Amino acid sequence: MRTKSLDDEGQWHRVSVIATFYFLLRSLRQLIRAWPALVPLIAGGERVRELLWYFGLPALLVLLLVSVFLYFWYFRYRIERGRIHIQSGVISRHNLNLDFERVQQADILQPFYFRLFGLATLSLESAGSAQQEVSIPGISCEEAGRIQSAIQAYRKTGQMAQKTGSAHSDTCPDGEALPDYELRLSWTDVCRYGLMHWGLLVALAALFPVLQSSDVLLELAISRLEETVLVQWAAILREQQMTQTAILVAGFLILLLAVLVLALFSMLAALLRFGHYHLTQRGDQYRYRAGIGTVRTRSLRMHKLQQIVVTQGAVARLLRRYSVSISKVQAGAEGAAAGSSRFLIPVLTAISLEQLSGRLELPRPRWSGVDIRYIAWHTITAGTAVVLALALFLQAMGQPGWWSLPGYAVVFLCVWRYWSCLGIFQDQSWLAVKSGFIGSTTAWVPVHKMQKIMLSQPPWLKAWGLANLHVWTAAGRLTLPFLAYSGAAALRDRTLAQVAISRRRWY
Amino acid sequence: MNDVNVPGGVQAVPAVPEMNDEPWQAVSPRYVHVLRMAVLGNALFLAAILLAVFWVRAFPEGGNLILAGCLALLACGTVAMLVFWAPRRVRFTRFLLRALDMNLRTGLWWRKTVSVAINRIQHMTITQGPVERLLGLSCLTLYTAGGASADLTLPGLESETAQHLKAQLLLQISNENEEPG
Repeated sequence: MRTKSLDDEGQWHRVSVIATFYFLLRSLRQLIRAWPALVPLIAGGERVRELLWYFGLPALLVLLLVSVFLYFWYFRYRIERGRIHIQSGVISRHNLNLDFERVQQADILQPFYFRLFGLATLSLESAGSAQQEVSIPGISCEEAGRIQSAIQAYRKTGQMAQKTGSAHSDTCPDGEALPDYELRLSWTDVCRYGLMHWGLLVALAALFPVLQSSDVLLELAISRLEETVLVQWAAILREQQMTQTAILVAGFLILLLAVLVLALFSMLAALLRFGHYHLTQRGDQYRYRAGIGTVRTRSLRMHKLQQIVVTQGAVARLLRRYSVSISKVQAGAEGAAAGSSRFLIPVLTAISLEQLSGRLELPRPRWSGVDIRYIAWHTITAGTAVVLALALFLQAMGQPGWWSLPGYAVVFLCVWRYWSCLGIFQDQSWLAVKSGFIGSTTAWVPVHKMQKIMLSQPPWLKAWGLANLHVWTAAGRLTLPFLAYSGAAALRDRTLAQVAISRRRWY
Repeated sequence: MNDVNVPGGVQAVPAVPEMNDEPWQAVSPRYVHVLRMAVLGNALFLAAILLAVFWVRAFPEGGNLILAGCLALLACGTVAMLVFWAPRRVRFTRFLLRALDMNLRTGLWWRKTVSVAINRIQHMTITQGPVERLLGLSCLTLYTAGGASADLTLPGLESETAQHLKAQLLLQISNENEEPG
């Protein structure tokens, strides 16, 4: 396939045939999401399962390969002045026209299967309520870079840039001016991120509801588990009448081994995702490039910033590290749009966090606390729920329900700890809320990005002269709880006035 | 409607009048019928679910008694909402359009005041359900970029008022000129 030049304006181009692999992976992901359709087939009996295995799956595979190739054959794109056109689809044809000025972000991704051939995927995110993400897979790195540069240059000058345009390109780092700021993460730092976030554990936890929702699948899983060596080994232990202590110790060692294996997998996943992480800042644009298998390049222009979240979980606190996530899309974005809406700086030390905060123009916060009646209210409500649930459980176990009453003390201590970590900060430019239990999460919102503000007084807060203040941006909601009503109303009025007179772009 | 002075240019925050002192406008009194129809509709739906559960015998022994109790509770709740909640809801639902923002206040026990700056409105729609159409009422919804939860809906407006508000907001929005961030 001839690699096309951006100068061939107005001509339709096909992507590389290697892109069929990209379309195949995408189709497989969509098929996997349709797994509930398999449940009645699997539960339909032995005969149905046989038909599915010997005829259904091969037919599905053939259909998949044919559809992927046809999709590649009918996929084409065209660049013309300030606009990109994409045609796709086989039976249902789609014609997409995307103006350069509507492109919020242009990223270049290099999965491992494209890197071997010098190819990449250009991913474009459009503005507007639809918040579409458009991808052009299987084009050369140079072509992707030229289109990206053309989009950036067009947004700056309003004119179609030439191929030797001065805009910053992800794939042509040589010859660029030195960045104003840069951050490179070492392999150990990336591994720390893996320990801090335990993504695999979360993924496993997410799988359990899937398994539990299907009794048939669970029965199959249990029957398979009964045949595993581990269960047989446990049966042998029982037959040999090993002491309970030995069984407990063995169980503990197995659990420890499982935790170590999961930690290892989590660090490996972090290395694949964030290995060679390199963040640069030039003017108002931040860009990072990261990844070992698939190389992702993500950029952020400062005026698109909607929310900054600085997190330090329990493990991160031990490791004295922080993560920063910058959001720039509206709430409710799903799937790839939600992921690409976050600009992530996975691991920072306290010093590098302070440097970055200075770059992002975050003020040094003076935290004010939340009203102490927060503890009383949440102890009563959460405590009652916990005590009632515990009482029902104890009664079901044949024990007196009143044994659950000490639960109030436990809830009180937990709420008190959470309250002591709560903090609120506000000035002319920023609103911030700090929360946490062992670690901490701080959410920063620029005042001029506010979309809607609500002052809420439930009956109990009204009785105490307090109120909750909720602020919405395109990245979601921020809640300032248990404020004095007069202070909350004044903050609401001040924020509203600042937004109303602001001439700064909110997106 | 009050004009807001902006001394010193963009950076200066104007002195905004206290919102409680502003002339809030009430919604149409006929909105109470819309609320009552909604309450009745929800109550009938819940009653249908209860009856369906009873029909498939999901209750243990004494199911008839439990069903009767649930239906009685539902009936009491429905009557309370029809007689007490709906009129008060209408009485305490008010809106305020100012030069730079739109505000909606609802609730007596659970008071909420929602505000949207004019320059954050993306687009607007006027909707009329079947009951609202019969009563000559409309809902005006202001959409922002914060997702569905960040939209502002003004219910129970006279249709003419809704049209007038929309026209006024469109005029104010068109007078807004953005500068690059």
